[in-house]
Amino acid sequence: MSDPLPTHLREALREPFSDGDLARLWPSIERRRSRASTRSAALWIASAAVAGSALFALTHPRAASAPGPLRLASGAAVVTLDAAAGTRLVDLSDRSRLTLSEGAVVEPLRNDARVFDTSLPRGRVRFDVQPHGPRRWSIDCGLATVRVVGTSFALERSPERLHIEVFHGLVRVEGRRVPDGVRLLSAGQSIDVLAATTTPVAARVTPPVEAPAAARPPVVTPPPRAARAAVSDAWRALAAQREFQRAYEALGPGGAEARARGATADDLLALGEVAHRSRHYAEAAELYARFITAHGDHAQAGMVAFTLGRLQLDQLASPSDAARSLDRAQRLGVARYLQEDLAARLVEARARSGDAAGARAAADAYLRVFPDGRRAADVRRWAE
Amino acid sequence: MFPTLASARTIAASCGSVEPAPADDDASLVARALLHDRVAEAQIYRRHARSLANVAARLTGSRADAEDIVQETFVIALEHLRDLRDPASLRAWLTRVAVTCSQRKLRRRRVLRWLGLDHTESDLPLDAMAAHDASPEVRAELSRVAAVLDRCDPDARVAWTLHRVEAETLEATADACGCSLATVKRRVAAVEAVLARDLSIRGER
Repeated sequence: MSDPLPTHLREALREPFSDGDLARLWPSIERRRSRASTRSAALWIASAAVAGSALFALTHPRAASAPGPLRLASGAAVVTLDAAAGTRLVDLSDRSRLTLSEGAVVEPLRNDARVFDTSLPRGRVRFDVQPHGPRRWSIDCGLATVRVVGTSFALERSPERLHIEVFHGLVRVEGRRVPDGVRLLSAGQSIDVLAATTTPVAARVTPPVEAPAAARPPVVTPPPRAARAAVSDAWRALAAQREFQRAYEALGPGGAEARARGATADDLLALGEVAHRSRHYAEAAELYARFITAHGDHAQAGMVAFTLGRLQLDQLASPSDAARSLDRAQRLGVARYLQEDLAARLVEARARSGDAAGARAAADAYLRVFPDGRRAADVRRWAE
Repeated sequence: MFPTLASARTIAASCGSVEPAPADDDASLVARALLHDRVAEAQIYRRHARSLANVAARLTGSRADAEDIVQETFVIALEHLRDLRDPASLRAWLTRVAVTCSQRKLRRRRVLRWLGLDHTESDLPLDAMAAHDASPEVRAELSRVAAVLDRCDPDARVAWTLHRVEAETLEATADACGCSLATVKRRVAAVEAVLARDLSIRGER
């Protein structure tokens, strides 16, 4: 910059807008939004007018090969995919297939004629990607990004690690925790990318084997903070291996309650999960409530409040407590793909606790945001 | 679907939301706005309108354009809040929308100028926004910089302004412009070269 001027010119400038200027703009924004809604309704009518030709296009052989976003084999748009109630097969329009194990979630990030980018927040998914397709596939798994060269492979993501195994073809794995930043895996190879707190070794790659690993050998994840591992911390290692019943037993006399005294936020979360998963529901609820009280500003507080609400609603038969927890979860915020479930459960909790007016208000809020939601019928029934 | 705490950690980690946040932070305001809470929408506006208006004014040099961009940004953003993947990154997302709107205005202005139809009143060039205590030398220099920017390619102008005026990092500038880091570096360098040539400005990396 020339000599009289500072490095960043902002330092030499004043702010041209006053509070009054900005306050005047807000009503205009509301008016423009109202007009946009009207235009949107008109667009829907126009869309209905061309629906016939769209149907023709969908059924025409050439239309099927027309460029556009990847769709489900049924023709529906690809939205967040989850397998809440067991293994789920998802067939796509390019004849690729996703097999989601129970609890897995796949979220599309970008989907057009050339690119299909997704994220895997959690769970195990097998991808059978049609080779030589028009789209570049990539899956963001947090610890690494997997780029597909045309193949079949499976991903399993947990907080501690990402496991990738390849059955056919090639995949490219990129990430800071991947050795050298990038690895190309071929058929029969697998890799474990581990979170920073889990082990000093960033990743383990297994060589190809004669037969692709149909039955994957169990992965033994080293306990967190291995350097100071002690008998008293055995529950952490067991929890990391998802051996929650044994982890609970390893807590020793006094159980989770004794460990929770003076525990850090992370330990409180881990203890809550151990109690929860080992079916000590009342204890888990106590730990979650303690976490929310002590760490209400924690980034995970919303998710914990939601988990607590579900526990109170489903396991502890305490709908009024559940309503309070779910209401709090809504104020704290949860991940987008859980917002519909949260809004529906709030209606259920209020209805079951006898708060009819609250249930109706929550139902109205749900139906405004998710008019065609999966739980809309239940929500209407609860609010009656 | 049952959200385990493991998934909570995963989600939080993927969002990078590790900082403690007050009860009425962006994430909770977004959650409330998604349920059509008008108060939350207004709070989002009050929280972010000032910085967006300032950025838009510095990018376009026009008060009318800046006001229009602020309105357009919030109309778009509030209608598409459900597309926001990480509510805690609301500010960056709004800035991205505002920058896109600004780029569109600048490109349209350039086309209209070629056709002799541009009647935009550039009433807020950099020198007009000079701090009240700015020296005459600073005002003169700002005026010369503004004149150079006015001739630059709109995308390069936006990138340079975000980086040199708004003090955004090159990475944040690339994110706001929706292009690669290399492209942003090239655009910033292009403006720097013109400035160096026209104003004998010393290069600064």
